Amino acid sequence: MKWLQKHANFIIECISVLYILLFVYAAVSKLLDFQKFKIQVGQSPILTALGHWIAILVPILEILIATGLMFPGLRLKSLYASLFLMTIFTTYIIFILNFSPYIPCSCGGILDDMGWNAHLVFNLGFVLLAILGILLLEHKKVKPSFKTSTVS
Amino acid sequence: MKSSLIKILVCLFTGVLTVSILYGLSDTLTHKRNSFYRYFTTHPVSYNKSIDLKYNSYYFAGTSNDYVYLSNLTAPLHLLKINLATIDTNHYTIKIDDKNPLKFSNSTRVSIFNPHFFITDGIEPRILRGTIGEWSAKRIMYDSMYFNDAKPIGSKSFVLRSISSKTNENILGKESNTKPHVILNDQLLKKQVDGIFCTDGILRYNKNLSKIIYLYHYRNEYLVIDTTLTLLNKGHTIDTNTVAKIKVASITSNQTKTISEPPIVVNKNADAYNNYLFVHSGLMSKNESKKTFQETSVIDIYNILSNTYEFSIYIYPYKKQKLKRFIVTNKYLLGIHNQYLVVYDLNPKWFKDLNTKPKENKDILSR
Repeated sequence: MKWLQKHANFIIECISVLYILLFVYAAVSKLLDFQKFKIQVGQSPILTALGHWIAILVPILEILIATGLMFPGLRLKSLYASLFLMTIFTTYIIFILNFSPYIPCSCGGILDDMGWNAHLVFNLGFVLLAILGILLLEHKKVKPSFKTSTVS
Repeated sequence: MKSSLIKILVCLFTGVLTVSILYGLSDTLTHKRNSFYRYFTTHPVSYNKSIDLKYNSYYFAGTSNDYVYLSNLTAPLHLLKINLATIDTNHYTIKIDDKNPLKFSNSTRVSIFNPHFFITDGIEPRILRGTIGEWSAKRIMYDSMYFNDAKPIGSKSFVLRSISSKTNENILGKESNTKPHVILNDQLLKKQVDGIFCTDGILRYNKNLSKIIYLYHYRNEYLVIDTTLTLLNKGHTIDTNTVAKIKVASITSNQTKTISEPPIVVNKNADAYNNYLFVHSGLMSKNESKKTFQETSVIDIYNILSNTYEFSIYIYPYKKQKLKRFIVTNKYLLGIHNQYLVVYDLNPKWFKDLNTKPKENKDILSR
């Protein structure tokens, strides 16, 4: 725990960079072949109700969050948003694997060659990273106020 | 610290909730009740025995007397013979008698057609034949047509489904080793949406009646065709989907055509034996429990001679594995549940026409 606190800044930076890379890559790969992505989303047995709206919404959210993570002032809020979005992605995979009438062949996701189970582990890892980042950042925010009070 | 934990939990919870709501909405859309009814009788099928095949890639090559033959998608020339009475198994590897070394892939299918067996491959078009027991096969056909499905209808003739070079749509044809080698009939499969997906279906040959059966996947219709490719009869399954509910889109980046929305699969799979057509349906009727429908596989039984729906049966999962493929014999329904072959007895009380001589019914057909 001490080690974590000592390197908190560095770790938070790392987590943010990882998330920025992930979201920018995911959004760009979706937008580059948007027609294909739209069809893949349409094929999903879980997203039928939302239709094609989600195809536009997801890359936009990803880019917004990635941008937010670049600014230290917005970082905490963006990490919460990342956690929220990642939870959605992860839950989606769990639902597909367990409750869906069939499993679509394409993940339509970030790494095309990754299987659904590998993707689940990958996403869970990112969920944990977001939680770690949030905790470190929140912790850091509280700390300086203690310091100022002891100095004065 | 405490407030941040709460916020984290809120994020996790709303995330899960969002997907749950989406799932709930989609589920009510896709598991819509249909305006038709099913009849269920008492004990039409009963579990007899099962065999662990160890692999889930086996499919039915066919039956002959008391034996069922299974071939394997990942080992195209491997054959497993099972005696249905004793459950004795024999493994064979089919030898290929050809000047050129032939490669066989997962588009290769083995079919048993007593006293012969056939190996078909429609991507590199070829049809090979051998005799059951000798397990050595060689080319017998003129082999010119690409096809995406083929069923033997005689010792030297096949019914094929192919894609027409003129229209780029599915078409049924017949290939034999007498001239003309290939005849096509573009009037059998009727285009509704795109001609490929909307006409997709299940091709079966009913040996007892010498009839070809084609059952559409996405509409409630089956065709009964004779061996000269003349349409004899059109029948309807009990649901109300007369028009295929599919949407097709093209992806320009890799030049493919694909179904762009989860399609409504009316008929998932089928097999024909004697007067019966067994159809594994994808639709829930008005009078079924949703839970049972989701957990089991429902098979509707039709009489293709009288064009009537008889009743339906549920096949329950075996060792938590749902029914994946099935065929029907004069006594049994054989099911592959992932890696298990399960033998079900067909109750003769309900399946009276399994052993009747087809000739008695000829007058009905010629109507």
